[in-house]
Amino acid sequence: MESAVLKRRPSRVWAVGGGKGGVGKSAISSNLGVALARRGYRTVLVDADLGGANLHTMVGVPAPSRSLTELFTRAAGNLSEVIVPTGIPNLDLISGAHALLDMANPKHLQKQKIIRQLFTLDADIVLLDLSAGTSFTTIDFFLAAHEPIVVVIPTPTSIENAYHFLKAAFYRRLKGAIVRSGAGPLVDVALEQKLARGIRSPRELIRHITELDAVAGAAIAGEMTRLRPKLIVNQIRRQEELTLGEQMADACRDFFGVEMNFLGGIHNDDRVVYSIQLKRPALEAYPHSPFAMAIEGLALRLLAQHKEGDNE
Amino acid sequence: MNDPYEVLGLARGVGLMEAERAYQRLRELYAEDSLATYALLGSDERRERLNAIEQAFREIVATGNQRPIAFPERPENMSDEPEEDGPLPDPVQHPGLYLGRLRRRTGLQLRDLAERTKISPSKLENIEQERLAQLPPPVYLRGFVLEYARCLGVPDPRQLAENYLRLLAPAHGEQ
Ligand SMILES: Nc1ncnc2c1ncn2[C@@H]1O[C@H](COP(=O)(O)OP(=O)(O)OP(=O)(O)O)[C@@H](O)[C@H]1O
Ligand SMILES: [Mg+2]
Repeated sequence: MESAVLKRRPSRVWAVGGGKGGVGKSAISSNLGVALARRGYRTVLVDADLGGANLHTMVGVPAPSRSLTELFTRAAGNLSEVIVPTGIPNLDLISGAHALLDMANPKHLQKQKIIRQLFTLDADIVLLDLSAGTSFTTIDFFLAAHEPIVVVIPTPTSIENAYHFLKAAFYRRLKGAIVRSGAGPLVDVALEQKLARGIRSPRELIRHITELDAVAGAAIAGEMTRLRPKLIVNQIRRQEELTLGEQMADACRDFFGVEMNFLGGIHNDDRVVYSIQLKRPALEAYPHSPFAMAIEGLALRLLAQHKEGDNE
Repeated sequence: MNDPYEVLGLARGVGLMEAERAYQRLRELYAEDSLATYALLGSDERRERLNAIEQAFREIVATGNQRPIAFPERPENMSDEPEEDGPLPDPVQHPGLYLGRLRRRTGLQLRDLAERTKISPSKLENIEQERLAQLPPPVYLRGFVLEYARCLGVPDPRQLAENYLRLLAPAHGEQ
């Protein structure tokens, strides 16, 4: 009966991204949505993949007539007007369907307005399925979320893109933090000359900034430690790949000075593909599959942290 | 960054064993063929990072942290928990409690079992107490429960692991 308790609290926003296309962001976010809804959390899935929206298909809904398109073309004024039910109790959808081509990077003001509305939707959890790539829009959604989640698969290309994505997010947050800290021009210089000064990692950069300007440095470092992405390793095929998550978390701590929490791994499971062919969530079509079990585990761990987050 | 402890991501003055573990972990992490840091840094940066790690560890060893590594004291033969004689919990409903009770009956301590299974005592305890939110991902969990059950000589370890994973399914979950 948790939803009753949750009702009066503002929604929490979880964003699933990761840089690389086809790593399973949509499969994971749609099924996580189903797992949360079943546990009684009123969940809104948002297809923030404005270029190639397909989340509706993954939850078994034909392309809705209302979608983010209507917001951008101003046929609808408010995000809550484009919510559609999925037929699954507690689970609603905001589709990105048939978005226009130039919508992948909407105007700044429009984007800010949508982000604001996401945080005030009448729901317990708002789950964003982000698009591949590192566009400003995607990074903004990722940084705005309460729970930013990165999905990788154990391939060099996916890991390369994930780090590219994390670097983009890190520096975007850092630039904002520097402006807000009111740091002097020294810090800007540090940022520009980091290579010349032998600064090799973001962690060393923050340390250097703190040496230059202790007060601003502390404010900036404080803001950066609040960036706590979570990591999911999907499509695991070999036993050795199970160590990848913890290792990437180590690398993140060492290189960025950022605590990335490894949430868990998901094995490669053909039933994910079959369920998409059936246009049904895997959790419904194959509830006892390894994939479904893994999603249930992830949902539990995220919810445990979600409850801690409420006390912040 | 000159403080060797900071280079290894450690609190100043931790014991040598911990420093060595961190050193080994970072060396592996930044190895040339490491997938986990692929494309995170260029090959020059990677070499510099490895050098810094090497230097830092040497310095820690050389300056010799004189403080002896402290192991918590505990008298021999002292068991973790009181003995229990009641009936065993139902292995289907409560596979974790079942394992815990069985372990105590056989007189094994968490420590002993941790040594045999190579699973940390805290993880074993979470499994026993069925602290669902603190359990490792199912893919690991299955292996841990199997290993634990085998060590105790449970008749059907596979079945028990299945029972455990079912605890995670929503029908049996929170609500
Ligand atoms: N654990 C898994 N096992 C097997 N196949 C999987 C798994 N996860 C995802 N897939 C498959 O990988 C493909 C890509 O998944 P999905 O569309 O969710 O990725 P995505 O990250 O959302 O991609 P895009 O960036 O294009 O939106 C799908 O065909 C899906 O069925
Ligand atoms: Mg997708």
